[in-house]
Amino acid sequence: MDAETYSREVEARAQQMLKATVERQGRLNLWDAHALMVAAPDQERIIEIVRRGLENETSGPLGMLKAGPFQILPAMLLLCRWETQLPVEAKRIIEQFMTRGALERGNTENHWMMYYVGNLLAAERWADLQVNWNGLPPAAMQREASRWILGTIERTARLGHHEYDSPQYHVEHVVPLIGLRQHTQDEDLRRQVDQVLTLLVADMALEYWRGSWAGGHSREGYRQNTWTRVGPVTALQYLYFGGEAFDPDHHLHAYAAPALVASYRPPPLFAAMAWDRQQPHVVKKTKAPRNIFRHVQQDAGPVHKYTYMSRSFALGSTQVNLPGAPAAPIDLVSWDLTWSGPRHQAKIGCNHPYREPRRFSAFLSGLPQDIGRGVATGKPYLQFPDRLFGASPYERMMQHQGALIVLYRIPADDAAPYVNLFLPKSVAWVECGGWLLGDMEDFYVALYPIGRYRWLSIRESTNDHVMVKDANLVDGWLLRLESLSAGLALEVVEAAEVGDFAAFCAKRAAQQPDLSAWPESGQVGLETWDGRRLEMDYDGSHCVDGQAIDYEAYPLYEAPGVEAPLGTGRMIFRRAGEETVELDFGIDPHAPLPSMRVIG
Amino acid sequence: MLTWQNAWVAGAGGVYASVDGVEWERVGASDPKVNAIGRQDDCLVAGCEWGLWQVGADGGWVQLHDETLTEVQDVVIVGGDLGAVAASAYGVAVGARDECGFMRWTSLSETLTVDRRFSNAIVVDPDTAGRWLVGTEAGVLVAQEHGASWEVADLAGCPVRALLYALGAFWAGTDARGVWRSQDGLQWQQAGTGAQEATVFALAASGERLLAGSLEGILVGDGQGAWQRSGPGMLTSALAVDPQGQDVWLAGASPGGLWRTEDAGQRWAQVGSFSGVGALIAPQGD
Repeated sequence: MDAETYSREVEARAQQMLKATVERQGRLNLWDAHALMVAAPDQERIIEIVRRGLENETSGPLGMLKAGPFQILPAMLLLCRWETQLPVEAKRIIEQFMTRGALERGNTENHWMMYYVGNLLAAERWADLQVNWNGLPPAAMQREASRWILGTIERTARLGHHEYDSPQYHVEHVVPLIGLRQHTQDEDLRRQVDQVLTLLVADMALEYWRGSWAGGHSREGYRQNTWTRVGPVTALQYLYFGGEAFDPDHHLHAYAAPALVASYRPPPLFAAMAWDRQQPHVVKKTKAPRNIFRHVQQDAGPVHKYTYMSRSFALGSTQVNLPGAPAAPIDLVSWDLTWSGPRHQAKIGCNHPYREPRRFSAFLSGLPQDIGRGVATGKPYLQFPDRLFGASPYERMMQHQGALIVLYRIPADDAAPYVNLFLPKSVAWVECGGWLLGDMEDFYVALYPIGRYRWLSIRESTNDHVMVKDANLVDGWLLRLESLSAGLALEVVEAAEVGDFAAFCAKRAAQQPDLSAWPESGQVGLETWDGRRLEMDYDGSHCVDGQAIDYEAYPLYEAPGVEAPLGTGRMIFRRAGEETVELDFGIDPHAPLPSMRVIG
Repeated sequence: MLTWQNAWVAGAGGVYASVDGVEWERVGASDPKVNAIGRQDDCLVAGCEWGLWQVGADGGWVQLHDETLTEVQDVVIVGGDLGAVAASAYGVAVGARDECGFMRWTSLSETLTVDRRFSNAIVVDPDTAGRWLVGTEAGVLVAQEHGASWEVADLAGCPVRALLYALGAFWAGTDARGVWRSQDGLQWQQAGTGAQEATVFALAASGERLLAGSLEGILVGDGQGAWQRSGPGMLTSALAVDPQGQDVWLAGASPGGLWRTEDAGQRWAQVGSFSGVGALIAPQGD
């Protein structure tokens, strides 16, 4: 598709989304007030939104406006985008907030991105102020913010995105950068921002699965990882990839609204990449190491993702490369199987619900002696025994195309001496020879739980503090693998490739995973339906047909039409019939990397 | 009139000041979680989860950190334009002004292992310029010549969360290994008896007595004999002693708020309306 046609299509979807935002019931906020500005805005309503967003909290004896990244960014984007149309009073409040408020930086990468983009735009706009909100001239913030944003872009181009592939937080990287691209006065910065936006959209496209983001995620928490459409990124997916009917329930989110009124358009080939699943292929990605700042002896290693994009399903897994207990990022999802279907009905995943409180203090600076209770008081689900997301230091996995082995070695004194496996209720499961087999019509799935298990049900609701009624958060089967040496072998194949389901069941049941060296020697083997042999050593090599997988050889991205060697800052994205995208971040691969001081 | 010299100062969600240690008032508008407070002439320096700030007596907060300094756990004032040395979750950093006069920070810990980077506490050697003791998650490290090189003390293998120089010696509070004492900062011996397995987050001296803020409340001792429990059982994360009246102590707990005694710990009373207190300093003595 040519750029002009693609841009028109994006614009049409943006207008559709803006119109639906205004028509939707509920109060608008600083993020989606853009939708009002597109229509003939009611001045008083805009002022009320800005006032509610920025004046609802004041701090200290001076009554200064106080807020953090989730107010800083949308306030500045609203002002920059609609400067000539915003009511004078709304502009005054935003200026007062950005130049005289008490602004918080937060502690995650998305927090800092929003904080620094908002503050950079403010520093450029009010550059002549003698003293900014932080007691320094605006030039100080302008320099600091530029350094951090450019440093983060460089790290992303060399090592991979840090807070990678998060359905919840990706939007909070993309939207600030879109705003910065449009409004900054710094041309050099604009060029780098434009390039890194291409990478972030490539991240979305390469693992896009018909409305879902398949595979592993740095952060997919909030008890939503059994959903097929998770988080605000669904709005960006629809905006830039289209391809399906508009559904306000899935495609509208306030955090994406600033993108709807921005001039940014990604290269058109990513929409085509996102929807083309005719030819099964593998996507590999390298991502930045997890930031673990204590309780371990060494730093985490690079994250390596492997996602098999087939015609009817996507199966993705991660080599998280954690440095050992108690390091275990709390929102991380290491693998999942995704296909098309409603919430809870088209995802399979398992995890060890590791509950050691020091996993919080491994990346939060609070006292380890108090942090377990401190965090779990605000987010009790992080310590739920049935939790289905979150990393475990005892989990290892390997994957080859549609076959996956996941193994655990859980210490006997662990608070959760078991593994949770989520299965959807939409599937009529068949048990045969220890395998659980499911017929999804277009494809078949076979799971072999390693270790004894109990078949339970799981139902959780958003408002479950009193009673679970609609189970809108989680609703499915929970298989509790009650073994310290639990594991899972899984194989997914297209129905067209293996004949009917009965034949698949018979073939799969005839060949069980090789558990002769598990758990004693730490090895498990799995022969796939087409005769490949996977051999996994828990803390050793992962082999396919005797060849060890070389994870260190993973490039930044590997997929059909993609060339992106690690550490170079150079990438090429090609697709037949589409304009090739070439990026060059102008990086010195030998220069020291900028510091990463955020969690994520 | 309240000045920083005559004020008690507490770090909680923001910086709070008090003339008498009983009535407290927030200073300025910012309210980050404050982990450490240093006094510098007519200013305070507050180490916070979101960086390092100078807090003026007028309530104004001036940013001292840059994009590399955050999660500040402790800060010491070393004078001169260098001003402060910050201990953070990412290690020890020193500041200097760039060509525009803005503070830039240089980490001295990048080559250290993970647990040696995470720095909980820092104290200046009063006898050797540019020599700092740092309490890390892996024990005590000694920075020589303003952090140009590091030495590993024999108090190792456990987190050190508090450091103090008092009574002619260095003192260290550890996780689950009580209080330790050293003359040179490199060789350490356990101090006192009866609390060898205590976890200690804060240390202070009151005359010839030592106070230790522990996981289970305040411990009082002389560093040689038995430690005595004092006051409520709570995670005591900050301590301060009135230099004018050695029996007036403040103890901050997280959680638990702020507590005050006027009789060297015979009776403690909760003051202020704090939920948690991470740092305390007493008025300056004469």
